[in-house]
Amino acid sequence: MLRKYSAIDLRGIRNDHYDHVVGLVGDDCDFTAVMIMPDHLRGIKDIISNKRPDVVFAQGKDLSTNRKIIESSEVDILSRPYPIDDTLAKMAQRNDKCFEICARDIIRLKGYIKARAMQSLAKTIELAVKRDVRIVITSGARDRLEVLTPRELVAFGVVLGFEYTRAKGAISNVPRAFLSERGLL
Amino acid sequence: MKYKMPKSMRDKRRYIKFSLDGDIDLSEEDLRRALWDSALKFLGVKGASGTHLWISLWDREEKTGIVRCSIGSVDDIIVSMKMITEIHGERVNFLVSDVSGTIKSLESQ
Repeated sequence: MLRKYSAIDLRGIRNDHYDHVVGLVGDDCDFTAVMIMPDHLRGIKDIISNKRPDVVFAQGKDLSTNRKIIESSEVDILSRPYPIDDTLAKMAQRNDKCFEICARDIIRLKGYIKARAMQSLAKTIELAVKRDVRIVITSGARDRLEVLTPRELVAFGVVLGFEYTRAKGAISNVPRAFLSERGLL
Repeated sequence: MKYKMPKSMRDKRRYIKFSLDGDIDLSEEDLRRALWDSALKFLGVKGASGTHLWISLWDREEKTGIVRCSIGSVDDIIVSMKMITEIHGERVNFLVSDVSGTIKSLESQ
């Protein structure tokens, strides 16, 4: 088991635990990102031309919204990737989309909703691993008291059904390749 | 009399080094209660009983500590620690820095 992780947080705030951090526009980070909410998918081109982010996230909602996001050429990463079926997983693999598992989304939920969200994420991970869709694990931190260390992100991945090595890849190799493809690293 | 098990039958343990971020002065008893409440809530009674969770070290001044657990429940314990966002109404954040098989190697870091 590794002691020091060379990790990248694709949605968080700048801190000492990560080599690079991508944050939402306005946060203190190395690269900027924007989160498109399900209701704003129609105005996605305007949002991107206004804010000029390095990475574009879109939040999933239901199957039809998730399908639109996966088909969209502007979006890079599908955040909150549930519900997902096998067809969508195959489409995501073809369109080279990433799924994001955000630890903050899980931590903030309570009781039954948290259990259901974790159940859905475990199903998504199972499908994504089968169909070879890239998955990144992010902290989603917005302030100092929401920061997660790389080891904690790996633990979240393992609890949701990843193997240890794949969970480690989801905070290091996968984000690194993702940023390199976009010429950011 | 000291309770002893044959060495081959003893459970393998892991030690988790963590620090606490937040404006709170936490006693070991409060920490124990917070950790066990969170583990019970997240893993249930049966799950938490299998973790063998124990606070090995807690430095109240430095706000750092080491917890011990069974080898198979390291990730469960780390996640249940992250589920603690508030203690006594104060926002807190547990930051796990290292996991090891011995306290000695954790302290040498």
